[in-house]
Amino acid sequence: MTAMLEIRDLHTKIGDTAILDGLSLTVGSGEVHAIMGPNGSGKSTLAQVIAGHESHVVTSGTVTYCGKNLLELAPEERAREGIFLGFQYPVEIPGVNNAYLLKAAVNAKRRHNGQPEIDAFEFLKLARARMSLLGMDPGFLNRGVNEGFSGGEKKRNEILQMAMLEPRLAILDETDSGLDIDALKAVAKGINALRSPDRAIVLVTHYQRLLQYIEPDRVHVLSKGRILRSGDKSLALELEERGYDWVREAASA
Amino acid sequence: MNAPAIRQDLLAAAVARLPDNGLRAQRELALARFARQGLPGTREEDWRYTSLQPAVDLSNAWLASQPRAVLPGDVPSDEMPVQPAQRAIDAQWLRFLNGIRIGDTLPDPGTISIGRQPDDDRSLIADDGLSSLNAALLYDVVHIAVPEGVTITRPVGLLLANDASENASVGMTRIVFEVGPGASLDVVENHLSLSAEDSFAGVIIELRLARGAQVRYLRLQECGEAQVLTGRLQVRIGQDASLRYTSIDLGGALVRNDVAIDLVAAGSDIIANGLYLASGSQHIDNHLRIDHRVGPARSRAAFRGILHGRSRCVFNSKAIVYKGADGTDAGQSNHNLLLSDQAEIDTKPELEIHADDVKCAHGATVGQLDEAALFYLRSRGIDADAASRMLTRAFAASVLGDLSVAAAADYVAGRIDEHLDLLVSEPS
Amino acid sequence: MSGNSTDIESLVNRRYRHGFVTDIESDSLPPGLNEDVILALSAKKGEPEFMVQWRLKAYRHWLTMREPAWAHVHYPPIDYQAISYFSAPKSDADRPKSLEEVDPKLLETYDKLGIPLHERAKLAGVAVDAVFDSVSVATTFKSKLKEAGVIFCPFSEAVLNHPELVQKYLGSVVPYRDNFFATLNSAVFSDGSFVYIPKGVRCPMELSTYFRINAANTGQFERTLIIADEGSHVSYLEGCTAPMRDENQLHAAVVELVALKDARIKYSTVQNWYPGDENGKGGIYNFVTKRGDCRGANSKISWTQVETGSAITWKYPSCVLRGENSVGEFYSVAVANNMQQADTGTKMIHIGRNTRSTIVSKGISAGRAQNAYRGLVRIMPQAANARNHTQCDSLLLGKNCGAHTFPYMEIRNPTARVEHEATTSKISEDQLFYCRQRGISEEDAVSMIVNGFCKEVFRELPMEFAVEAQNLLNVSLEGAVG
Repeated sequence: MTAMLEIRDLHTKIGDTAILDGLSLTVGSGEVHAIMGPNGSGKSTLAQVIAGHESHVVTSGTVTYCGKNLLELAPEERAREGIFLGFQYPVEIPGVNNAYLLKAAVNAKRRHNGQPEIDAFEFLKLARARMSLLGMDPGFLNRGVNEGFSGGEKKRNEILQMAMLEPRLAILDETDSGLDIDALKAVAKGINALRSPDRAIVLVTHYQRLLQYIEPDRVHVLSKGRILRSGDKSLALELEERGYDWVREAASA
Repeated sequence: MNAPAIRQDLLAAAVARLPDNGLRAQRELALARFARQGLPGTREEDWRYTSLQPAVDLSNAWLASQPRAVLPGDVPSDEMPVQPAQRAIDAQWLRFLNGIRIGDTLPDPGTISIGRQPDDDRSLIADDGLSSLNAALLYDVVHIAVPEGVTITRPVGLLLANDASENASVGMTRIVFEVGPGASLDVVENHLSLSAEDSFAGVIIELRLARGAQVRYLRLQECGEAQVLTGRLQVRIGQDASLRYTSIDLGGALVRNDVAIDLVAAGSDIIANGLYLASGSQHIDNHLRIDHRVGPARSRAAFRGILHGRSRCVFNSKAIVYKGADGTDAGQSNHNLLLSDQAEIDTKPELEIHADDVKCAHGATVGQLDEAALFYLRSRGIDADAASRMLTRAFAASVLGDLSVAAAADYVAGRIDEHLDLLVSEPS
Repeated sequence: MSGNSTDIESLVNRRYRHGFVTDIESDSLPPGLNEDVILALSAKKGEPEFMVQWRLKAYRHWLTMREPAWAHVHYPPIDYQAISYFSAPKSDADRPKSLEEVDPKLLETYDKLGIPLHERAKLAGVAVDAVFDSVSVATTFKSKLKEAGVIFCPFSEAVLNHPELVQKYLGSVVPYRDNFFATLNSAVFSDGSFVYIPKGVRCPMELSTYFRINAANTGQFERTLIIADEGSHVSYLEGCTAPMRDENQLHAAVVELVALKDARIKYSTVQNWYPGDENGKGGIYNFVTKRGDCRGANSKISWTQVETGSAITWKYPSCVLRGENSVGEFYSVAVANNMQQADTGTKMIHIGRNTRSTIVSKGISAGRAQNAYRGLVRIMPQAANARNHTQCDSLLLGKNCGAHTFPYMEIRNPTARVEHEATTSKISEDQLFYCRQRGISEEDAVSMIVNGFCKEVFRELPMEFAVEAQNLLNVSLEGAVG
């Protein structure tokens, strides 16, 4: 069986600045990976490049997703193929109803997969079920997309979208940042509920604390655009104790 | 409704009586232009709330008296009493009486150069009726230059006094500032009236900021009750230059203040704020225009007004963002307190936008003191009258928080307080 | 001047007595405007004397006026003598016999807009007799309205059948001297709608539905008068999302609304006249005067407009808030794409005590279009405790368009509270990427965001129209982004 996501020697730049500098990563179905690293190491860039953000230019390397060349696809095609990015800063879209966006997204994907679209009634039923799973107030659906949401609400909304879109590969960019402990637990609970053998999850995080609630199969340390070290979950604990300098020193030694 | 008219024949005669100190050709040119332009009437959009009729009447009466040209020698430098702002603000004061510079001391002679505008400099603004009238009647143009890289620590003070007691009821002033690259300068422009008679003053100041120049500019208008004043500050902002501007209107019968800021290069940063306090039958009109020709650049404008009696105030701000001026960030606000049922505020914050990568916003309000705040203060034992004074003062004081010229802060705060006391005690 | 006009009047009256027998028989008048043309026009309609005199007064005043030049719009001079001021509607013989004969492109647009099937034939100009559905629907509506005592008829019929109401209210909101285009309309108006809702009656249906089916070809000088008597309610919708083509380039309509004590009028407009091509060739000049008078206490007039058509739009639906506690509202979406020019907004004139007004304006500019909001809020000295809130947002799609805001606030009462807010923005890259990451195409994302931007206005539209209006927006902005 081939890996779900295969990144080989990826180099990217934004403007004239090189960010990813020979990154390689393999993620298999059913796995949970954590990408850790200091600020500016390229964690968010990796997430955005996988999702197809056009401000990043891939200068060399390959990204293969389910056997396809991912770099050829537009962002919406990647999404319909099952890639979900949980944004570090979910975007506010004033006036656009949360439910409306979600239904449009779900149906775009269903169309893509040759499935019939679901109607408003079915959609609401599904959304309510997912929301109760996440402990969310149904009133959420009728608000503008992230409009006036608190930090915690925005992140929960991302997980709700993930639950509705049922991605094959979810990349969650700093989903834990800015959350208090209760919100963090709720978000982690939602993510754990979505773990499944046909789904891979990549957690991008700065701190170890999210990993207390979501146990990763693999942990990678990213620095200056490449993975310096990979290991199991104990690497995260070691990092927490010894700091990122330790990895950097070890790598340069 | 028709545009008010100044008698061209009388004007031509007055222009002819001015001494030939090199400016004659420019005066004649301006006179000819004025014949075509005339003064703007209330049919013109920028003048719909302000009639220049009083300025016309004063000018025609003055011209009809066949005034002899006032010359610098006519005013001995020691005759003009020291003015409150001069005492209170530590600045290098330049004194002007009815547009003519008096006294001969050069402030900071080593760094700032003060001289005449070169006679062959044809750049004198005469692009509308008011500026042409000003140019035609000018005795002289004062040119102030700060060389590259020089920081002037003591503000330059412009004391612009008007004295109508000797039938010199019309006076025109023109000053040009040239601030060199990277230079830094504070300016205090203080308008006042030395006599109680009706008079008309036209003041045009040009301010050119070269690359990286920084100017902090305070206009403090304390004219008398019979003064008609039209002022214009024309600013050209070079690359990465910054301007902090504050305008305070306390006096005057009919006052029009036009501030036009032209952002011709990227990276500039403008903050313009102002306060107008009006009572009796005062008419105070502030027009602010910011031309964002290139981006990125930032401008912020915030004006406040408190109106009492039968006063009328006008506020018009206009931000124009030109095609391609991406990265422009322009914000404007105007807040007004109306204290009397005969006062009127006409406010018009405009945006004209021809580029899409911009952030522009404006807001305007007209209202009263916050009732919740009033109640809060009263619940703490402060009587209603004192509470409303307190809040009125707080409303006005926001301009002090961002006052452009720090050296003037105490004086300005004191003057605002005095005026607010008068304003609030006036029966509504 | 006055002696002169008496001469003219006597001349006119004499001619009128003789009439224009041959002209009345013909289907249209030759181009040009003079008193004879007005007399002929009036005679064709068999109008009573008061109407003729009113038209003539307007015409004579119009001759003394100059075309306004203050709006942020540019167009070549209009030759008013080249316009034909009366032409009969096309006869059925010239019309398509069924939908099969209609241009498929037009039908495709109806489809995109989601226009109900039974309305398409009428909109496409299919001969009325062929449209069985709508005729029967209309008949049902007619009897319902009659039962409620509502008068709803073409203006020309009202002039003949309800002259006392017309005479009392015509020009009482927009006087014949009001402005250049309104005065021209007063002199030469062709037809339009007349609505009278009696005391205490709530009009049993949205007049929109009825109107869409029955809209006559009212031509370029339309005149509408709606009177809501004490305690009555009415919701009226003019226009239609379907693209309307018209050979007449100049449209100068006048709409007058009168709301008496406790009455409510909701007036919604969807304007989609031909905007001209991408290069600005052709297109309608839409110079409209719309004004509502909240004449009685506690009355309310609400304007909602979705303006996507016309080469030039020049309109400021206004409210005169005379009655105590009266309420004025203005909700507007104005779209300008390609070479369109829009200068639109509102006036809220607060005269009565405790009057309130709300203005929500959403302007969308694309292509090389210019879109201006121009609004006036005036609080008169006697209008104690007046309130206004204005929200004015512009969205720019592209680098070559313009969005302008010209708000005027004239406040003469110290108890007034007036707030104005305006913003200008574009669709951010972040918003687009966020939507695309959720699997939504760029085009859909743009229309979603644009519709979200307009939401506060769309929700004021009658339900069945809100959906069409959203679709209309998408169609109008096709190709504007990307």
